[in-house]
Parts: sequence; structure tokens; C-alpha cells
Amino acid sequence: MGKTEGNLSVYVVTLVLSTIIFVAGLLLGVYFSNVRVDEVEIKNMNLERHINDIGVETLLYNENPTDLCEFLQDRVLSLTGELFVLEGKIISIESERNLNSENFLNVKKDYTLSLIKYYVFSQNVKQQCNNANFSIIVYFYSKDCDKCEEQGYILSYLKSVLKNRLLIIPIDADLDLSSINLLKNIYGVKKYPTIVIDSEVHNEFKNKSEMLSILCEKVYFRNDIICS
Amino acid sequence: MIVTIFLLLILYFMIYSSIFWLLIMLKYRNDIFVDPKPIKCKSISIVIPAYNEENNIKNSIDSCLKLDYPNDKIEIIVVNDGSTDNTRSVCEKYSKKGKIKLINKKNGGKALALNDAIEISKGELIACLDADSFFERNSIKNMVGYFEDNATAAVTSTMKAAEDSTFIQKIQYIEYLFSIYLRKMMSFINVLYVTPGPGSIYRKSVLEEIGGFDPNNLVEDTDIALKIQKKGYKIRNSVNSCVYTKTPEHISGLVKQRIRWYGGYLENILGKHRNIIFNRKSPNLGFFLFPTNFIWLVSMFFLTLLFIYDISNVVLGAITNFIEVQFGVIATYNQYGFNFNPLNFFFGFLIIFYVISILIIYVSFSISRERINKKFHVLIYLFIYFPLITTLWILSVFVSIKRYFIKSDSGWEKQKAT
Repeated sequence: MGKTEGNLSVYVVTLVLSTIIFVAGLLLGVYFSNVRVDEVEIKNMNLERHINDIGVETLLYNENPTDLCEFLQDRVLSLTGELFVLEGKIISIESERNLNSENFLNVKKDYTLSLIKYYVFSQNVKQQCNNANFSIIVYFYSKDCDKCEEQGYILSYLKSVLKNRLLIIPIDADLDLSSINLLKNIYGVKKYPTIVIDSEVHNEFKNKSEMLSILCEKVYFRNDIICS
Repeated sequence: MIVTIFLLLILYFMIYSSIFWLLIMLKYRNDIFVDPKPIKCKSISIVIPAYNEENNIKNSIDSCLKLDYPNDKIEIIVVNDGSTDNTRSVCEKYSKKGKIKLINKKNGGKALALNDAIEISKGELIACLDADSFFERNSIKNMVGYFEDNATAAVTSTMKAAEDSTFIQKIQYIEYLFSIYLRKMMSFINVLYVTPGPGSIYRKSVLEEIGGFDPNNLVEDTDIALKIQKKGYKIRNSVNSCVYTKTPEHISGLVKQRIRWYGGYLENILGKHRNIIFNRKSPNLGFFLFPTNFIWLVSMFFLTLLFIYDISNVVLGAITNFIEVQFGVIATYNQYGFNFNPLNFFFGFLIIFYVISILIIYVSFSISRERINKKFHVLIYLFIYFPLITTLWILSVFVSIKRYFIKSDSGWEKQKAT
């Protein structure tokens, strides 16, 4: 029969073995986390390139005022699919528990900067083109906000119905970026959610019917099913 | 962030605990299936306390009569604890033929019934059997050999569930198999702290030394084991001695049983036997087993709370979405649902626990000599068991607190012996 005392060696071996296994699991987890953040980073870079492409085109339009309106509008709206995918990936990473937030925060900042640039270019196209048929919504949100979750659902719904005639630019107001602070100053953003619809600032939560009443006044949405 | 760190600590602890028992098994692998042979067969008194067991007592007594052990060394004592059904007449059929001794007494609880039987017993060893349980033929003879070592005061058997017809019983069946593995491992480092009612054998002299069973204890089998441990004796286990016991068929019965078990455990550990924790005389028990039991409990609470929190967030989100948007829920799912990716920060640990679980299941089935064609139960068991048991523990804690402040009397008639 085996001894019943004197099992200290088993405790020690277990400690060593468990630590090795634990660290292996941790490393594997960190690896997978990083893989996903890297994937988002690459998608970010592609998005950045596409936005710059459009940006250059809008500059060329300003230099040569031939009627490129329809073309530019198509170009602006062509990014909506890519944005949709990227935003989904970012949200899913954000909602999970993990340890390396620093890396991800920088990726999110890059993404937001691209979005702001995209906003400027699309606004430019809309202002220059008389018969633009899309709306741009800038949506400021924060951790410290009662109705942001509901507002998010409503905006997602509108997006799914109006598809690529509605551009939504979500801005996380907690990110530490100078351009975000500047935007907040420009639109007088003090509390959240704040929604800027085609440069019109709305300082509080807007529910589904309120949003529809604002959007359905636009010429290009008037004949839509949801506006009737 | 704090939650993540706490979660990681819990995961480390769970890995440590699982690996420890697997390593113990590795160290003592040649001793698992081997029981010492007795030099000569000691005399043994089998004591069966019975309260309203007219349907089950016959099986119990018959299993004792069929034991593979010299007849002149066995005596069977049945204590009818004031049964109001036909238990007495069923037993008298045996006592009239001289096969058992029957004590009829007024209802006083299981502990007093056992003590009465011990008083008139003649054997050197006392075996306890619940009236709803039955021995396998070769159980006793495999356990007796351990008593050659004078330091051994008790030997526990391999407890299996007698039936697995209902869903709740199927879960318990697997749980008992896992306990068989764990109990054998615990016996190797002498940390057994329960000598289960059905099928444990004690040295009579030790029982007398510690004053028999305590009628004021919810779980007299835990109490007696702890008293034995504190005296410095050993408690052993044999995997070659099967005792089959009845398990509750429905959740209501299970809840009652577990509230008694877990509440009793808490009352003993936090009350009467508090001094066994961090006790230098039994270091394995005091510094490892009970502290780890406690940490397991806290971990299970935490994980279940976390799980409920996460699920309710998802559900609340869906409800909020539905309220705000009425029919736009699909849109949001399209956006967020498709992005669920299992390859995340905790994926490594998922793999680790999957592997460890398979090892433990394989080991449990092997030691209890079961075939894994009950695969289906095992999968369900893995998902349901921990939340179920955690809930039962939480209930037990509340009931214990209530009992502590309102000292109510719990006679055996109020709770069927389980």
C-alpha cells in the first residue's frame, strides 16, 4: 500500500505542471486575441486606402468642375459594405473580456480617424452635388450615457432599411483624439447621445418615430416604405 | 479587468486541483484495484436502520444474506425506528427464522438507531447499510482486509446509483461515478471526510471510543468521519466493493437531499469541527482539502453569477432592441451575430478544460468499471451539473443561515433518510 502522508512532492509537481499548462493556455489566448486585432488593423489599412482614393477624387472634382457628381456619390456610398464588416468586428472584440486593451485602443483610434476623414469627403460631395440622395449621421456616444444602447439599435435598424443611402459615422467620444475633441467643439457636444443629421445637431436621444420624422422630410426618402 | 484577473485565478486553481488528483492517481496507480487480503475473517455486525422502508428493506436484508463471507462471522441487526408502515412485519419474517436480530423502538432518528444496534452488536467490525441500499456479493470481504492495519478505523465502499431512469437520476449516476474516482484518490492521502451511510465499515472499538453517532447532527456520517480523522486514524476505500443506493427521482427530492447534505457539511465545518481547518495534525485535510473545497465553492458561485450576468445582458439587449425598433431585431443580429468568434482570449483554456474533462471522465469510468456507452448522459451532465449543484449549494447556504438563527428541530421523520 502507498504511504498516506509525505506527499509534498505531488503538491510541488502539480504546482509546476499546472503553471506550465496555465501559461500555455494564456499564451494561446493572447495569440488568438492578437490575431483578431491584427486582422482588424489590416482591414483598417485597406479602408484607409480606399478613403484616400475617394479623397483624391473629390479634390480632383474641385479642380475640374465637370459633372462627376453621380460618380463621386457612388464612390462614397461604395464603402458602406466594408464599413459594416469592420464595425461589426470591432464591436465583437470590444464586447469580449481580454487583457490587451492598449493595442486594440490604438486600432480603434485609427479606425475613428479614417471615419472622420470619410465624413469630411462625403460631406464635401453632398454639398457640391445638388441632387445628392443620401444622408450623413454623425453619432456621438460614450460609456457614460443612459440611452446610447437604445440609440445604437435604432440607428442600426435605420441603416438596415435605408441601406447605403444612410451613412452612419459612430464616434466614441471617450477616445483620446484631438480631432474628436475638435468635432465635439464644432457641434457643441456636451452630453450623449448626440446625433448630427446632415449637419443639424440634436442633443438628446431620438426614438424610432422621431428619427423617421426627421429623415422622411428629406426629398430622397419621402417615397420610401417606412416613410409612408 | 478585475473580473478577467479573478477569472484567470479561478481557472488556475481549477487546473491545479484537477492535475493534483490525476497525479495522485499516477503515483498510486498500482494500488487502485488492489485490496489487502485479511489474515483471518473478522466478525462483523451489519446494522440496518429503517424507517418506513417496507418496499426496500427486503432487498437490503437479502443482499446481506447473500454476502460471500463466512456465515458464522456475520450478524445482521435491523433497527425498526418506529415505522408506521409494514416494515416491522417484513423484518419479522426474517427475525422469526433467526436470520436477523430485530430491534423495534420508538422513532428517534437514524443516529440513535445505529447507536442502539452497536450496543447489542457482537462483531469486531460494524458495517452500516441504509435500508434503501444493497451490497454486492463480494463487497464486505474486500473491505475487511484494511483493518489488519490497526491505524485504520473505517473503510468506505464504492457507492453507485441503483437506478438511472429519470433525467435527474441519470445526472446523479454520472456524479456518483466521478465520486468513486475522487474518493479513492482521497483515500490515498487520507483525506476522506465522509463515511457514507450506505456501506461503510467501522472498527467497533473506535466507534465506542468516539461516542457513537451524534443524533443532533444533520449528517451523522460526515460527523463521525471527522471525529475519526481528528483522532488520527485512517479512513480507507475499496473500489472492489460496490454498494447500490437509491437516488431521488425528481428535482424536489434532490433538492431536499442536497440541502441536508450541504447544509450539514457547512454546519460541521463551520461549527463543531471548525478546528480541523489549518490543523497541523492532519495537514492534507486542513491545509489542502477543506480550503480547496471552499475555493471550489466560491469559484462555482462566481462563474455561475458571471454566466447569468452575461446571458442576461444578451437577453436584455435583445428585449431593448425589440422595444425600440419593434421589427428591426434581425438587422442588429446581422451586424453583430455573424461576428462571434470562438478564437478569443479564453480559447486556450477551453481546450485545456476539454482535455482535462475527457481524462477525468475516462478515469472515472475505468475505476468504476463502467462502459462509456452512456456517452449521451455525460455531455448533458457536463453542461447541467455545475449550475445545478451551485444552485443547490446557494439554497443550502440560505437554509443553513435560517437554521442557525431559528434553531428548529429536524427529526428523521421529517426528512426521509437519503
